[in-house]
Amino acid sequence: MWYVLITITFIFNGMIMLAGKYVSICGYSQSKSIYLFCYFSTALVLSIITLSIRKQLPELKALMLGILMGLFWLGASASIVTALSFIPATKFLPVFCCGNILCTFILSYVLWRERIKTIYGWVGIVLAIISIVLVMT
Amino acid sequence: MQYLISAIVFTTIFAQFYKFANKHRLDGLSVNAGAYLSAVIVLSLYLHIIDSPAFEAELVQIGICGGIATFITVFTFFYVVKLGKLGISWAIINLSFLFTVFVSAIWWHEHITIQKAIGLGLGVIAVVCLGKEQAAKEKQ
Repeated sequence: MWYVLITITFIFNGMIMLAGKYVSICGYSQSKSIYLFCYFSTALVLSIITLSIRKQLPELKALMLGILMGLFWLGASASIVTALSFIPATKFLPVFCCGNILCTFILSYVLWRERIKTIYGWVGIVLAIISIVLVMT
Repeated sequence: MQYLISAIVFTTIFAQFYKFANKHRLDGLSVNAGAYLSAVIVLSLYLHIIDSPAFEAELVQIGICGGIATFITVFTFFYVVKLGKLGISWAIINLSFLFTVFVSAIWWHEHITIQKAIGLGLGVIAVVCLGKEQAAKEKQ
């Protein structure tokens, strides 16, 4: 079951980035606010349907945190769609993913005191930096 | 370049919020519903006050497809994490950029040089290594 679910998540996550790429390729980056509006509205409607199927009201604390998170999610999505109209996907996505992972490790150390515990962690960080340099230059 | 940096910064902060929600065992579906809600409110205000471009059918369709894909990704990811290790799952999900890179190279003929291909390969190895690091943390 895990393999089926991880494959579904893998493909659909790729499709999200592909949708962003398609918006910029078709010259819609000027109207990206419409794309983002439809994108978030659809996800909101599906979430409300799922919550009502579960017959459960949303937790207030979780909802409040989500409201704050949504602003960053929106900022990230708008930046990704805009960036994809300037930078080729073959250049943007590897740098974005590796940069994202690197920054997450740094911020996790600062905020949660999470240290790198194995050699794999250090190797991964060094390789991610080399990868970003190779793809960007 | 500034959009690339802002995309990384926003996504990193967003991921930390997820970490916070996970640590405090908050309901994932409620968190996401709140996130979608605030994004829709901000975009509605933006479209109403600042910019109101025409709703083109194709753009709306792509937006709906993107929204469905996002919902499915986030929804299934919660079950993926419940059934398997977070670190390994996290690494595999991060590798999904390869899917988009290959489609872009084939469909839109984006050129991949040898240097870029090596960078891509190293990126894949880096994600796998960092996934192993995450899995080791979970064991402890």
